[in-house]
Amino acid sequence: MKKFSAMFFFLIFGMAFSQEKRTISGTITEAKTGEKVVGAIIVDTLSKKGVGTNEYGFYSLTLPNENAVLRVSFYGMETQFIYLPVGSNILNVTLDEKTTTTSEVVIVGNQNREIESSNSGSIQIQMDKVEKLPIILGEKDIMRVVQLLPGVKTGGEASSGLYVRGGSPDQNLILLDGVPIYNASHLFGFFSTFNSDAISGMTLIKGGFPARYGGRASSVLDIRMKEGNMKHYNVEGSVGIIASRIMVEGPIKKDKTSFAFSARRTYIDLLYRPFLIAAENVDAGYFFHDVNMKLQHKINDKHHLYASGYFGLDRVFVKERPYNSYDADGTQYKYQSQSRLEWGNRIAALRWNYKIGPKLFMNTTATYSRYKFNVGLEDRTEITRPNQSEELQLFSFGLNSGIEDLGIKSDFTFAPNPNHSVRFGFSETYHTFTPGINYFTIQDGGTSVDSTFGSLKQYSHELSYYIEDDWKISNNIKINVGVHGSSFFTNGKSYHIPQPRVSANFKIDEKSSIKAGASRMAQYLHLLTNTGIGLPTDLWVPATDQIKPIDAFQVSAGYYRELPKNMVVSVEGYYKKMNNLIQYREGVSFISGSQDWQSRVTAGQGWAYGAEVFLEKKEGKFTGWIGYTLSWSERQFDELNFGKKFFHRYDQRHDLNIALTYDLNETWDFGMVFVFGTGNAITLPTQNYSQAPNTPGYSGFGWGWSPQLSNFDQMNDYRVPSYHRLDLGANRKKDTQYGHSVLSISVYNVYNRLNPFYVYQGFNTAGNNALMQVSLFPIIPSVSWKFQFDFDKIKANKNAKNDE
Amino acid sequence: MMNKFSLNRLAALLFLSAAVLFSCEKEIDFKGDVSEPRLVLNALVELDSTFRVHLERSRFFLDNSPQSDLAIASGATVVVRNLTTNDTYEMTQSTSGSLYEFPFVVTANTNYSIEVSHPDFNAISATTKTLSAVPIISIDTSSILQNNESRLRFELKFNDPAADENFYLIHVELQEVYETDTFSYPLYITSSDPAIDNSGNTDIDGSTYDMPYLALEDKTFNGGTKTLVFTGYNPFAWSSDPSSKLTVKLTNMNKETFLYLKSVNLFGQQDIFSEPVKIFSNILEGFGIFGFMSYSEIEL
Repeated sequence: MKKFSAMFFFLIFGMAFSQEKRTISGTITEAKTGEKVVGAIIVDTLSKKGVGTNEYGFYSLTLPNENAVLRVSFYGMETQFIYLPVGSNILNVTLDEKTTTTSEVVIVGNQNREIESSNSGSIQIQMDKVEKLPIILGEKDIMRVVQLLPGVKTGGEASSGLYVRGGSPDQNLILLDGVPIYNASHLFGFFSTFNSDAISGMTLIKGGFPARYGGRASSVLDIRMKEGNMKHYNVEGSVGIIASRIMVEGPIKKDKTSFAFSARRTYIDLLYRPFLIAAENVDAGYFFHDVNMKLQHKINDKHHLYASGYFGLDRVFVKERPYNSYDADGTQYKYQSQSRLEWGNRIAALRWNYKIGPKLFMNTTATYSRYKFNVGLEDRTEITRPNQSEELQLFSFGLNSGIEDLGIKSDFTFAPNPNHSVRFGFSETYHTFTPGINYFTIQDGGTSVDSTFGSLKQYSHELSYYIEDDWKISNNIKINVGVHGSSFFTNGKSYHIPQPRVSANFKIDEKSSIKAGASRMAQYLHLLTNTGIGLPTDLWVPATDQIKPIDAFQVSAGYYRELPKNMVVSVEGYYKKMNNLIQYREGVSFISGSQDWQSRVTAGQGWAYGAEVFLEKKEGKFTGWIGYTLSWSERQFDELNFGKKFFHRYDQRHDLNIALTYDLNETWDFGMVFVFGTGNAITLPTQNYSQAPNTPGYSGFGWGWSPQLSNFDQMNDYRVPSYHRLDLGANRKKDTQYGHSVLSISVYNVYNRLNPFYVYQGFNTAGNNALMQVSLFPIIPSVSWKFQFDFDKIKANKNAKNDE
Repeated sequence: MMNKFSLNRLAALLFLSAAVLFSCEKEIDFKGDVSEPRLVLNALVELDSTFRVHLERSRFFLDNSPQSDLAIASGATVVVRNLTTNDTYEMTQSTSGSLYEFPFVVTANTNYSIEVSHPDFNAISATTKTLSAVPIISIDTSSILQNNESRLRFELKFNDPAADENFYLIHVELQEVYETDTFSYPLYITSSDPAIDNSGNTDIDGSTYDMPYLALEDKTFNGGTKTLVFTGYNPFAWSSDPSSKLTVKLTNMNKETFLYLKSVNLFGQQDIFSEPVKIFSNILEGFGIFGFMSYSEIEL
């Protein structure tokens, strides 16, 4: 493998110097904001050679040493034609927004033509289009839009988890500005951690993984934060049913340094807490907040620095206000208790973009990511006896768990000629796992006990390195080929897994192409969970000498065709095999803890296969997509289900998603979402029967004895009712004297379908055995109001007034 | 600018909207195949006791027929064979309810089989092997202080038969008398002995918590004398009620009984998030257990 990589590398470099050529390079930015444009296309109209910008807006185009006329284009932007004579090789371009309304209606899709990209299973989502779809409780949520794409399933009602092509939520690499996020949900999974105001765009990759990504088995969700407007100040915010948001961005020094800051907080607790305190003398509540920050500084045309951070927190708390009681002898007892449960992510990234030369670009990032979960309680009694000093009785307990990463990575983009775009790089991540550390304090008068105990922290190193080439073999054939290697070191055990990747595009004609890809993905982290809900108690643990890393292999192939009226249709099939998956053993759940978590899980394998159909209309007044997935997802564990294969809990045979938007005029637009999915697979008993009457412990001798036992034939062989709902929404845009505002009205679950959250064997109101279903969300109307200040407009209005 | 009136309206709107968000529970129809009932045979036979078999039928998990309807008192033919001596015993009518009590005593190191036929169900069958008795040799107790808590330390000694694959359960029963009534309940115990098999007695923080019993198998001490040390809460630390007494019980089981107990225990600890537990059964074409146990106990 090493020999192959070295030959590959020298071949590519050799090509760079084999002919007399010129290399044009630069960055493409938006004129209005100064933000980098990712995926803009730069084509020399004379030689017909072209490239796209990378995720940092950089491009490099090597052409014959002749005059060139470049066409620079991007969806929603005015195309520019630029004449570039020989000798002039630096070209930075700023693109203006198109002024026609039709330019705004691209909803989802690659900026490059779908049929030309070599990456199968990759979808880009534009944030400004997310706003047009109906929302729940006034909160735009990018994860809920991702869930509407084919191949992506939800865990059910109220879940922001992603189940991509038969994988589980822990198998998704969720990157925010290149930094992994470990728990991407607020409010027990109801909302994602991402404040859509702070996001500039995202890409979902579910197959045909480029070699630059690694560390997870099923998908990559690469989310980019807004960099900050280099030209103007921009203030926008919104007020919703449960939360409000604010976003401020602007230049610190025009075209040189900028910032972006956004924050949001839920406020239901602020409204009811005063009543609770007055009525019950208890202060209790729940809230979440998050803050996104970003600074960018352009040192010169070659060097660019970025600093970004995200801080999110969910907190549930109960605080009993102090109250007093008295003994007959006058002794006063002052009682007070409080408890809290909190969890959240903190990430930070420091990024340095360096244009080393016209053909070589480097991005180096230092990253920090922490997910922490804390629970704590404290009971305090202050005793004041007559004529004696005060005595304190205190009991406090806490549990901390989480994961913390420190990392550094360098990525290089090298464009030796228009037919090759080579990327290579390496990264090192130092993981600190905290499976659960308890501390408690007991104080009784003068006696005090302080103790800390629990699972020790575990430390691991994850090293990765990659090289890939986007290679245009001919006008009809493009491939992306590469290898991602990774090594994991933990507790004296090491794993080294080479992961070859290849994806190819064969263009049949100007309107259609066939794509295929194969990739191996390794994952060294496991998530201990069996709820599927995304509870904060879910525990990240490393691969060990007993529990091996997840090793997945996927092949996919698809047919893509452009249709009239700006529509694109794709049909893609996939097959994925996953080894070393873990699952709790029989009878064990996340509630039952253990020092040795390894003894509570069992390892097995999984299969996922299916076909996805995606019909998308990108432009026009009426846009949107229909996605349909027919799929199977199976598991096999030697120690579960008698070693026989069974369907994964989130195996959904049919999954249909329709997302449509309609721009009526410049004031009104409408959105609609319809979702249908086969019900989740659960295990129900077939027969109940009596336990042996003389079982030791049967009559109260111990715990865990049940007079009625249940038999099941197969795991997950019963389907809960299917999931479906319809959401409708409307946005009314209005120009005001200070800027713009948007009033959004939406109705979630219009026909009030009670979808299953979970189903269990219980008792009905008559006390009889019955199959019971718990549902969460009925019909929910909501409203939110968004505002945006336009300082140029305010200034113009002010000047106009002064002129009058 | 938002005036006071509109703020009030906004607050009311927020409250109304929040109130809409609630969970609801309802009964739904079962849309799968309704499985047929099977015969249930429960026979945990005890050494030196009469051979006792309980025969019932199972019921569909949503069936609401009363428990008393499940017993099969007649209509079935229950045949027990001593495969060592070739003696055969047959009963067609229960002794009482679901109980079929055969007129012979269970002996050690004997292979038994059971066959049950009934016109309404598939015939069922099972075999098991009984083991030698394992008496307690000695039990020593002492009072110790552990983490500022007074506890009792037990040292239990017994001989494990080399020829058998034995599994053990250890209970300590506390008996107390209040006025004229006698109450018995388990003394919760724990042990760091590596032979202990109890799943679930170690917390996530590494601390161990007491269990109502300890389970172990003889893999590591087969044929030897086992000394097991365990501790439990000291019920005499605060009061020395002369009527209180402790009884240490050692249950000796064969593999079938142990696997059954283990799965039953896991079954009872399930929560809604647990992976489902398959109850161990060695009854062909039916449910239940045919296993063996013997007891030895010492009162302290």
